[in-house]
Amino acid sequence: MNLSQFLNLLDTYGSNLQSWPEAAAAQQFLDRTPAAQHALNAAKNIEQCLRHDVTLAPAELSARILQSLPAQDVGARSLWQQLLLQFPKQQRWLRVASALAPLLFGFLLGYNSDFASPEADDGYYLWVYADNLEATLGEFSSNSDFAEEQDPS
Amino acid sequence: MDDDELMRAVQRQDKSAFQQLMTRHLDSLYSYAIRLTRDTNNAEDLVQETWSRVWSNGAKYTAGKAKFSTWLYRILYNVFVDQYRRHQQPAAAMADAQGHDELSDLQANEQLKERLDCALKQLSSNQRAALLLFHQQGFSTREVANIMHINVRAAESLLVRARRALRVSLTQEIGNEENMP
Repeated sequence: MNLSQFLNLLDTYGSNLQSWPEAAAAQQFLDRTPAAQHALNAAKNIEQCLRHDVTLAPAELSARILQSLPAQDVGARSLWQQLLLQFPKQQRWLRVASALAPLLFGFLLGYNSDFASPEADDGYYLWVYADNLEATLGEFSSNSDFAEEQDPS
Repeated sequence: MDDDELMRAVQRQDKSAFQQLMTRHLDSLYSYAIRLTRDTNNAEDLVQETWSRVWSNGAKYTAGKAKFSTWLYRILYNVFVDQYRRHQQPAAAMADAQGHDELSDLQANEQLKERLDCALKQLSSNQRAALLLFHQQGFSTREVANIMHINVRAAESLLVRARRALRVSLTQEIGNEENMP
């Protein structure tokens, strides 16, 4: 390792040598190179300085923010969103259940209704055949019952 | 109560929860803002606008999708980009003329911090934002990328360049001082 490679690693991974991919080689180089030690110390100082760089907000800022709060944009929130916000995070299954409820209701309604009676089916098919008589003539001719009706001889 | 619980209360327009949340994050947010804008007045305005948006857009926050702090700093960064970086040149020139004294007052007798102030000013606003998010605020590279709307590789690149610029600037300055008679 040379100084340029060491500095590249320093800039890429920061001053914690343990997080470097070539930590052992870097440590060996560091032990015998004062310029590397100097650069590492500078980087450590910068990081430490930034980590502890806290500037307290002015005391009145908090009050000023609270006073200036605009009205929340509740109108933009749908009724559905407002309802969901009532649920705590732990009860998310309720959201899923409430979303599935209309689907289930529709399914049960369809299952129990009497739309598909045999009579209705017959009428439907008769109507379809009548409307497409020419196009479906071939199919009719292969139907023995129809053939008997049309041509008793 | 953790941040997400407080935020849920804020979504129900609970001002007390909002105040708790603000107290928890105000100083660190202000510290970041003052470094970013290099001016106390701008930093206060930036922080105030950020919290105002947290209140009015609270419904947009989804717990669990990202940490609250990531969302908060993302708002602040958006406001900064929208309102301050647009006028970067005059603002920066003004800050260089006036802000240095202000920041020096805040951090008097701390030589390294003063040097760091100067060195941070040499960075581009993107580099400064990334570096502060990572080292000052303790976000991961992925979170930095998320806050700044860039990909992780771009965030890493910003961090490398920022660290290099700071290190070179500070070591040169120290070297110059050591060489002085």
